[in-house]
Amino acid sequence: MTLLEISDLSISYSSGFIKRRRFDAVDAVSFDVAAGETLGLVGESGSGKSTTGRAILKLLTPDAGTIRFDGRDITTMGLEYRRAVQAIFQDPAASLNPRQVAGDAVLAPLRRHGLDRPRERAAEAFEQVGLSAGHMSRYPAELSGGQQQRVAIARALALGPRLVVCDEAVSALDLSTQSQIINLLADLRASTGVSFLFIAHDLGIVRHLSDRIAVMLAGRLIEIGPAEALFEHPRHPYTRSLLAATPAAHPSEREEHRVRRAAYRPLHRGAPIRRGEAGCPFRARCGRVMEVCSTETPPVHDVGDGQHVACHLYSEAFSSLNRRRI
Amino acid sequence: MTTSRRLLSRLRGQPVTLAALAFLALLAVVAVAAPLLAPYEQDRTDFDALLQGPSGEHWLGTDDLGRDTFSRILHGARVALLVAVGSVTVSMLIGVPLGLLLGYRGGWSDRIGSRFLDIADALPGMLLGFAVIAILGRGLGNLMLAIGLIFCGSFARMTRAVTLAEREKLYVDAARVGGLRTSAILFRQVLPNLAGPLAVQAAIFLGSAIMVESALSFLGLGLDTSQASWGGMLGAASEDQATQPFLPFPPGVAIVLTVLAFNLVGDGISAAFAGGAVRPARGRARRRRTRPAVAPLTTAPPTTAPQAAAFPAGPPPPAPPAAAFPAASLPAAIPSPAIPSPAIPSPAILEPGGVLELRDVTVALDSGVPLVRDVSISLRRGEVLGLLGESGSGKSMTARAALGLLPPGISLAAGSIRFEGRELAGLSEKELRGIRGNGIAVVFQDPLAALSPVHTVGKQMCDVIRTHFRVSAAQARTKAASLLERVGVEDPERRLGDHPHQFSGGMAQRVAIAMALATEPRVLIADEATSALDVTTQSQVLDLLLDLRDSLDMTILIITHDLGVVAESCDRVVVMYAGEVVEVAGTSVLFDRPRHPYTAALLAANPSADGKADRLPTIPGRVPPAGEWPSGCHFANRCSFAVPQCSTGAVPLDEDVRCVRATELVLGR
Repeated sequence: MTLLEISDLSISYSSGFIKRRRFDAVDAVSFDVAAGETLGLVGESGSGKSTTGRAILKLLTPDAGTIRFDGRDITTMGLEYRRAVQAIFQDPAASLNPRQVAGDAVLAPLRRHGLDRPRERAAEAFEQVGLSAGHMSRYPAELSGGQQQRVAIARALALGPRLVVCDEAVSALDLSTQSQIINLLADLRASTGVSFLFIAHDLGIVRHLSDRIAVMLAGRLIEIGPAEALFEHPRHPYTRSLLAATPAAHPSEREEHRVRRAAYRPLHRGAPIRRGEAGCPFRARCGRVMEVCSTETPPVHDVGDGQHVACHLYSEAFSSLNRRRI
Repeated sequence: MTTSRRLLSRLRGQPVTLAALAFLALLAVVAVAAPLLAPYEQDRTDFDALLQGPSGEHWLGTDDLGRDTFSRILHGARVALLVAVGSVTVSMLIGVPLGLLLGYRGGWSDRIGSRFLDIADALPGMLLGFAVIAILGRGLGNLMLAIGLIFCGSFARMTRAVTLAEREKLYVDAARVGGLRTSAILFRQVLPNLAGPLAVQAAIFLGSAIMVESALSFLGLGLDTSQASWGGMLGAASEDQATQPFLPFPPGVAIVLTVLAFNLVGDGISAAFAGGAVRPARGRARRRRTRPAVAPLTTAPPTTAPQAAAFPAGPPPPAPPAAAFPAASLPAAIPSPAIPSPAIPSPAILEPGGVLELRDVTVALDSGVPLVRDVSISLRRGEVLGLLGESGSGKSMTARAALGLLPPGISLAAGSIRFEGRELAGLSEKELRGIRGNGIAVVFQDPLAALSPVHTVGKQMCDVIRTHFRVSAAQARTKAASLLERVGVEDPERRLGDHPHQFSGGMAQRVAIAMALATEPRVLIADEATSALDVTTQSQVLDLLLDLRDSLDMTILIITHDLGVVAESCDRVVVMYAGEVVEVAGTSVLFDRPRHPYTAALLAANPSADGKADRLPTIPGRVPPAGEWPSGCHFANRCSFAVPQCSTGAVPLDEDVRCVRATELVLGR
């Protein structure tokens, strides 16, 4: 069952007072998240993944496109949407008010939504994330990074949301703390059935947590598919170069990685990623670039196994030519 | 300890502020109890004693109606405090919500509102006061309103500025996601964070309000003359000063002391808040997108620019070398009284042929708390050595110690650092600079912080080259271009004319590496140099480093928290935990057969892109911050293999592993 449905989402920022310049942060992005599913959203900095997350959280207004939650346009939804969709942000220290004790951070939204027994609910949420009731009276500065992120998770879960947007929720944590939080998120997903939109740059973490993965580049969604399929058979040349760039997990794979990286190394490293214009954003760096790549924006092709890719290599006209070589 | 308590304890350490507070408290008591304390009623006239000087009967003399000046000063304190508190309250009630709203809403309403505030600011405050009193008439309430209106613009502007910064913070986003009302976000979330600056501003304006009140009363626009006020008394005194020169002194001194006291309190609060930047939770992890803990030197005067550029992150190096390194330059360990060294040295990783050798290095805060303890690392010629650790492990401090770039307040407490056989501990800053200049180079996490934003990349590189080599400007430029080309910057000739901000993150890091290479160093230290980069860029920069090692026969020390970076690029690894080296091994050996439980746990906890496990093994607890290290093995309380023996005493590094059970444990995947 589809929980969140995003179609043709576009968001641009304008800058400059007299000479207005437009920056297309998100460009006609469509995808959906099923109930109980974890969708990983990956991309490099500037790809628009966080902006997409902020639009879903109604922290900014899209220029075009619709976001539907449970079949309803979210612009028509009020407080109920705030309860159903929650967030966990990257920097746990910054996402908690330094002048507010941890317990109040969880209590304030509970009170706002008029839930009964707010204190008990907050205490339950603290217990759920592995904190004690004693932590409720602590200020953020008195908690460690991992504990702060647990408070942020408790705040998100106390309202009983159906979707949680995690924007780089573990990137700021130390490795030994990171695995604790990743496990906690996995446990919570199993016990509550909540959906996650997991935005991250670290492919290892995304693969570990996600059912499906979407890849963004320069504001466009260029590939989406089941996590295993996407990692085993990446289709878009950009996804391939991204996976090839992931560091080896073991030194013995170093050479293999280097060979793979050389094969998928983007051409013209410094060449611009095209943004906000017709054609493929990756074309200037792509080793498989064709004429059509700079004239037409690649449509999304269904390549089977639930994988979809926005690349001209997979269109009918070229597929017979290229299928074998891809 | 809560913020307010911390603040109070800091205020307690400021004797001047305490004295000012005591004076104001006394003033408040006097104001409240004026009718009881005053020897005479304030408006009791005595025509037999006009314009008298101080006497036993009238301590501070009398005025032109024979009223007792001392009694009127006491009563005047009442008016002064009442008007000050009242007007500052009025201005805060108007200004703070206005500023909150403008700052939070932003956009057009903010632009228009701010312009209005600017216009209001351009009007002389006194004129505004005149107008209000002219329209509404004299009286206590109107006086408060008039003075309040003068100050409300300043409160609004300051509140707006702080709110603009606060609303970008994630906790405001979190509150919005939680569904909180705008008013609740403004007053319950943002406002408490404004308490500090507002308190400072209020204290200073309380003093200013007394001045304005005095000025208005002096001009006859304040309260009725039957009501004693310091300004009014000053006004009356000016008329009879020729007859009784003492008259202006009592009100004048009262005004000066009170205003001074308020300003001192304001300064004190401000200083107490400024000291509040350091939080107790050290080692809080902020990883990506953060700068190194010590802000690198970004600009330097031309004379020192070359060195600063070659060693991009030079924080102001400890000026007197003696402070950085104990005077003795003996290669043997300098004994440290505070920190016990384990009896067994660590010969296993000290070998001849090391380019850079750290031996029993201890780095400590000036208070004596060690940040790094007895670290020995040997960097062999031509190798890529990884220094792996989480935040709080002391890995960066170790590297800074090797470079003599420790931040103020932190120094090398013991140990020896040898570069190509030469002892660096105890060298002067000038000598160190020479070695850092062409022996060892550094690249830090934030390349833009390492480059001066006001000069072109070409100028900065040429400056470095010409300081170290006798070449012409044209030759330097050619060399700079070839260096840029060497690190993979396309179209190097043209890009020499670009400023650092014109490079993307990955390209800027390449430029920083080119800059480091300009002096032809033998050792390159990369301190989290790829941590802020995207994966594709990171892999390119790592490949570049390995390539440089091969082609220039360079020795590279990679400091990182990322196991992937180690797996990808290092020949050997030194693992640090809570200020100590816990294991040293070849990279493959370390990944296959870790010997220290911490290394094994770290490897297991890493989610890799190559596979999917159901649950990640975790390490309970967290890295203990410096100063809270356990007495025995630092990892013992988090270790699943711990035995009582682990906590009995310091564990030595034995055969490259610091674990009492190293020989019996079989770890690894």
